[in-house]
Amino acid sequence: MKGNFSFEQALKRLEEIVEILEAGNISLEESIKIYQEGINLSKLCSGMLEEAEGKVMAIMNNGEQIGEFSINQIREA
Amino acid sequence: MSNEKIFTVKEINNYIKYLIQNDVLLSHIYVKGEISNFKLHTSGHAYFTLKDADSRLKCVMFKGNASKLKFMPEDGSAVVVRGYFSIYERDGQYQLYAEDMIPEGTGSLYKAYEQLKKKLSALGYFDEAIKKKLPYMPQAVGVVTSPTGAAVRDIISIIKRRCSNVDIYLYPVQVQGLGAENEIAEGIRYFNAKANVDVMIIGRGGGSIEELWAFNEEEVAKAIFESNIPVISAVGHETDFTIADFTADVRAATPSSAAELAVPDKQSLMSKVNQYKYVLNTSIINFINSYKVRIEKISRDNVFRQLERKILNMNQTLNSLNKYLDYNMMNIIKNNRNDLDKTVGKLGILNPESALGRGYGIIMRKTDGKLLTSVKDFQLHETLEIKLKDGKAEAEVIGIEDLSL
Repeated sequence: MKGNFSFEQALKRLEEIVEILEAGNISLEESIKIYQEGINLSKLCSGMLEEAEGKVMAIMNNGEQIGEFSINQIREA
Repeated sequence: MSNEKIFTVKEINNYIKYLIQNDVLLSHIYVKGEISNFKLHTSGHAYFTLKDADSRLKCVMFKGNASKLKFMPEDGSAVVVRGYFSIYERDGQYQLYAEDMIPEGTGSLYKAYEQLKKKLSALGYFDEAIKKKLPYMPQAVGVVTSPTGAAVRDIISIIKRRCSNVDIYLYPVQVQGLGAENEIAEGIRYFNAKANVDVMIIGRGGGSIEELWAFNEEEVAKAIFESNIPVISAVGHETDFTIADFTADVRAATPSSAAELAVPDKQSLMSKVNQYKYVLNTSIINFINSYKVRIEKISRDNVFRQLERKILNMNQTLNSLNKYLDYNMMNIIKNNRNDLDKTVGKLGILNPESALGRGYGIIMRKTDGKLLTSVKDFQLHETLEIKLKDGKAEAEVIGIEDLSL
């Protein structure tokens, strides 16, 4: 459940910033400030997308014990 | 006979129609039988006869319902028809107006489906208002389906292809057969208890209505309804609508499309982010350039050029004032110099030694060189020194006469 909301928020804020910058009716100082913010957000978003490979697990019920096993383990067995 | 009411044919057909249409049983009824004389008219309406060993019944199915049929009825098919009775006044012919039709073997299931759907709908299971929003970018997806078959392969491979960093947890279940509905419900509850996934997919590939049946069971619907985690249901093909589909937060037409709904396409998100980055950079450059242009324009403006000229003029004035100042100072200095020279000249005249040439002498005491200006300074017999224009002489005081006494 970690952080899935922040990507959406980051992307949304990035979209807002792009719109504001494109519209262009803000001060130079302000624009440089939000440009910085936008670049940071785009780095954040790219970073999140470049996270490590996720795992594929299967839940196995061995009698009373429920465990998680990677799919590869199951195929090998 | 004369005192009894005589009806026209139309009147009596109307009356019978009225009776039939107001009959509770005849206005909503299931009838089973074998199809014969099936004709699909160019208008889209279907006309056929239902028969069994002993009897026949004329039926019509209008275009709107006929087009929704999931199978093509043919002569000889054993079917169950749902519909109502009415009378076709022109021919005085009563008929079954069919609204839906299914192959007969599935008749009881179909009824159960309709009843459960009605019940759960009344309980609010299908309310749009309680549907949960799917997470934008889940970290983990739970899958409740058969571990064998195309559905699970499609789901896993599509999720991996679209968003490789997502974790996938497969809860393997039987999706058909005895107890399948309990296993599916358990899978949904397992993920809720563990809370290790952000969204789950439940479903299976295509099959007959009997094979899909577990997903029409109340047990499964209840587990979906009670789930805190958003559920995507993907049962069978696009044309199959199960109770699970209605209860789920999102219905996917197929397991593959469920996987697409569950996770975003990383590649397209990446290119979106890159595109935003590009727009950011070009925007800021444009922004700064527009300021540059403005500054240039302003600096070319008349006000500034006038100001420049003004500054030049002031500089010139300052220069000439400086020169003037120098000149005046020189004059003042020169004048003072003249005054000084004159004063020095005067001083020369007042110098007592200059008077020596004119017969005056300076008298000093010999012993200490003191200048003597009064007879009171003199003492008898002391030696004096007398300085004249061209030398000195020594003299002795031999008498003093003080005239001031």
